[in-house]
Amino acid sequence: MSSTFSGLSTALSALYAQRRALDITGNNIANANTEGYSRQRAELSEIDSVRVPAMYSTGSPGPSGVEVTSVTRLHDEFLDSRVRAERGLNSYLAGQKATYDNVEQIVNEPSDTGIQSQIADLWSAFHDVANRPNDLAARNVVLSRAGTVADSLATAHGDLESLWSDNREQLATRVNEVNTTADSIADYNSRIAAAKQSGVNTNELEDQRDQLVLHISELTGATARPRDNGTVDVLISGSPLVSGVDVRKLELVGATSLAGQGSDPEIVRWSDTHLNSSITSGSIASSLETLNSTLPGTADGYDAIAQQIATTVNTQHDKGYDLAGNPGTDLFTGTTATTLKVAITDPSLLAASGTPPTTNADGTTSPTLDGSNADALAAIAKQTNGPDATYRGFVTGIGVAAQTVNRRADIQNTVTSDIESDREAASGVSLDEEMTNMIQYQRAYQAAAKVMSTIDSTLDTLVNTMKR
Amino acid sequence: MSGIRVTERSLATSVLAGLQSNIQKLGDVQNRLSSGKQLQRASDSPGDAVMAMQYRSDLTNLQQYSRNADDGNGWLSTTDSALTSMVDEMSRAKELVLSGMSTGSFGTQDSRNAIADEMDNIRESVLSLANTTYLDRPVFGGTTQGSIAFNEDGTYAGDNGTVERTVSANTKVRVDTDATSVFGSGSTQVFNLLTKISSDLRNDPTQLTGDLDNLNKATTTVQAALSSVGARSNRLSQLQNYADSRVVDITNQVSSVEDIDLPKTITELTLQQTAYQAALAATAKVVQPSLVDFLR
Repeated sequence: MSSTFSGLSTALSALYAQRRALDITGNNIANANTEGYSRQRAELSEIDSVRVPAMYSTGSPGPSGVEVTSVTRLHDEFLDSRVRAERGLNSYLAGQKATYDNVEQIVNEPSDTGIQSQIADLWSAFHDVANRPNDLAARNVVLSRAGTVADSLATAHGDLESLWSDNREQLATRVNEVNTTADSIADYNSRIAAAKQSGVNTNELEDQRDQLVLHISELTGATARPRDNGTVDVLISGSPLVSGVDVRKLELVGATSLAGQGSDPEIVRWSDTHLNSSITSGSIASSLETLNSTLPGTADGYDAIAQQIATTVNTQHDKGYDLAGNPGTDLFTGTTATTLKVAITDPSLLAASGTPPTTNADGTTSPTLDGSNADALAAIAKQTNGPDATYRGFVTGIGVAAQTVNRRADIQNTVTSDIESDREAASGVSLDEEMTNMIQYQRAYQAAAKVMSTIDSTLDTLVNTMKR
Repeated sequence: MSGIRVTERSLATSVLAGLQSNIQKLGDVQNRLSSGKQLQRASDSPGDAVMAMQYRSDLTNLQQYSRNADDGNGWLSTTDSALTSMVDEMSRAKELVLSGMSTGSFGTQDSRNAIADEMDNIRESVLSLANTTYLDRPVFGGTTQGSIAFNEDGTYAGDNGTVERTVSANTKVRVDTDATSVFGSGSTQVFNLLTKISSDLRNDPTQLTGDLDNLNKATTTVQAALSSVGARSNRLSQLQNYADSRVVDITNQVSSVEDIDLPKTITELTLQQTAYQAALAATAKVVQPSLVDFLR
C-alpha cells in the first residue's frame, strides 16, 4: 500500500522534470544560431519506488514519478570527423587556389603587356636592324627592348620572391596557431575530465573544445579520437598532438628566402623528436606546397626562360660581326631571371652583319653593312623549340595546374558545405521541433499541476469533510 | 527520429552556399562584360590561352614582315628608277655613237670631239646613277659601308654581299642588285666602254662599230636587270598583301578566342540576375516562417 502523500511527490517530480526539460528547450532555442552548438535533450525516466527487488522488501512496487537522468548532447561523431576531414581538405585547396591566383596575376598572360609580347617586340626590333644595319636608332631599340625583357623577367621573379616571403610568414603564424590551439584543447580536456568526475554537465565545454579541434583540422587536417573520460586526442598523420592533457609542439624550420629554399626546404616538424610532421591536408600543407614546390617551380620556369633567351641569342649573336667588323660578343650576361642583363651598351657593337669584313686590295679590311645575322636573330621567333615556345609551354603549364586546382576547390567547397549542412541537420537546433517540445513540456507541467491540485482536493475531502 | 532532419541552420547553410555561388556567377559574368574579355587568365582555358599567345606573336611577326616588305620596296623602286634613267642615257649614247659613225656634215673630227664631250657627260651621269643611294646606302654596292658603289675611274667600290628582306616565315627576297651583272666587267663594263667610246670618237672612229655592238649588249643587260627588279618588286608586293591580309585574319582569330560574344554574355547576365533575384526571393520566403509564427 503506497503512502497517502506519495501521489503528491510523484506530481512534484513531474513538475521538476518538466521544468528542467523546458529549461533545456529554452537553452536550445537561445543557441539556435551558435556556431558549433550541439542540441541537447533531457533524458526523462520514471522513478521506481524499489530500485532493487529484494526478498523481504515491503512497499508496493510501481512507479513513483519521473526524473531527468541526464542531459544528452546530440551529435554524430561520424559526421563530426567527416566535417573535420573535409574542412581540412577544403582549406588546403582554398590555399592552393589563392596561390595560383597570385601566380597567375604575376604571369599576366595572355595580354598585350606580358613577357610574350615583349619577347615578340625584341625579335621585331632585330628585323628593323636587319633592314637598316647602319641606323644606330634601330640598334638602340634592340638594346632597350632586350633590357625590357630582362627587367620583366627580374620583376616577375622578384614578385615571386615577395609572395614566397609573405607565404612563409603566414605559415609561421599558422604553426603558432596550432600550438596555442593545442594548448587550449589540453586545457579543455583537463576541465572536462575533472567535471565528468564530479558529475557536472560538460556539454558546453565539449562543444567549445570540438570547435578548437575543428580549427586544428582546418590548419593541419588533424583527426580526433575521443576517450571514455570525455577527453579527446588530436592526431596529425597518426602522431599525437594532444593526448589527454599532454601537448606536443610543432615548429617551422627551413630557409627564409626563396633562393635558399632549394637546399633547405621548409619543414614543419615536431619540436621534441625533430621528425617531419608529414602534414598532408589543411592550410599548413597548402602553405608547404606553395613554399616548396609551386613558387620555386614557377621561379625555375622563369630562370629556364631567361637562360634559354640568353643562350639562344648569344650563340647567334656571337656568329655575327658588329658595325666595326669585329666578331660579336655576348648580348646577354647572366643565366637566371634575376641576373639576366644586357651586356652591350654601345649600339654599334650589335652584331647585325653575318659576313666578315671584306679585304681590300691594299690589305686593309672594311666591315660590311650586312643584316643577315640580325635577320637570323629575328628568326629565333619562329624556332619550334625557341624561347617563345618554352614560355608558352610554361604559361600553359601554370594555366592547366591552376584550372585543376580551381575545379577541385570548387568541388570540395560543395562537398564541405553539404557535409556541414548534414552535421547542422543532425546536431543543430530545429525551432519547429523545439516549439513542439515546448508545448509538450508545458502541457505535461500543466497536467502535473492538475494532478497535484486534484490530490489536494481529494485529501481536502478526506480531512475536512470527515472531521465531524 | 528517423529520416532526414532539417534544421534552420542547415537550411541557412545551404541557402547561403546557393546564394554565394549565384552571386559569384553573376560577378563573373559582370566581370567578363565590363572587361570585354572571356579569357583573362591562362586557367580560364589553357588551350585558348596558348592559341592567343601564339596568335599575338604571329601578329607581331606578320606586321614586321609587312614593314620589311615596305623597306624592300623602297630599295627596289630606287633601283628601278636608277636603271630606267640609265637605259635612257644609254639610248642617248647609242644615238651619239651612230651619229659619230656617220659621214657627212657630222663626220668631221670637230663634231666627233663634241660628241665625245657629251659622251663624257653621259658617263658621268651613268656613274652617278650607279651610285644612287637608298637611306644613305648605295643600292648597287652590296653591303659596303661606303657611300658609293663605283669610284670615279669606274672601278667597283662595293662588295659582294647581298641585301635581303624577310617577308614571310620562309621567304627572303633579295632587294639589292648585283653590280657586276648589271654593269658587266672588264673592257665591256659600262664605264670602261663609255670611256673607250669617248676616246675612239676622238682618236679611232673605226672602232666605233664594235663599240656600238658592245653598247647594245650592255643596254640589254641593264634592261634585263630592270625586268628582274620589277619581278622582285611584284613578288614583294604580293607577299606584303598576303601578310597584311593574314594580320586581319589573325586579329579576328585573337578576338574570337579572347573576346566575349556580346549578345550571349548579355543574355547570360540577364539570366544570372533573374536567377539571383529568384534565389533571394525564395530565401526570404522559405527561411522566415517557423512554428513560432503560428503558435499563439
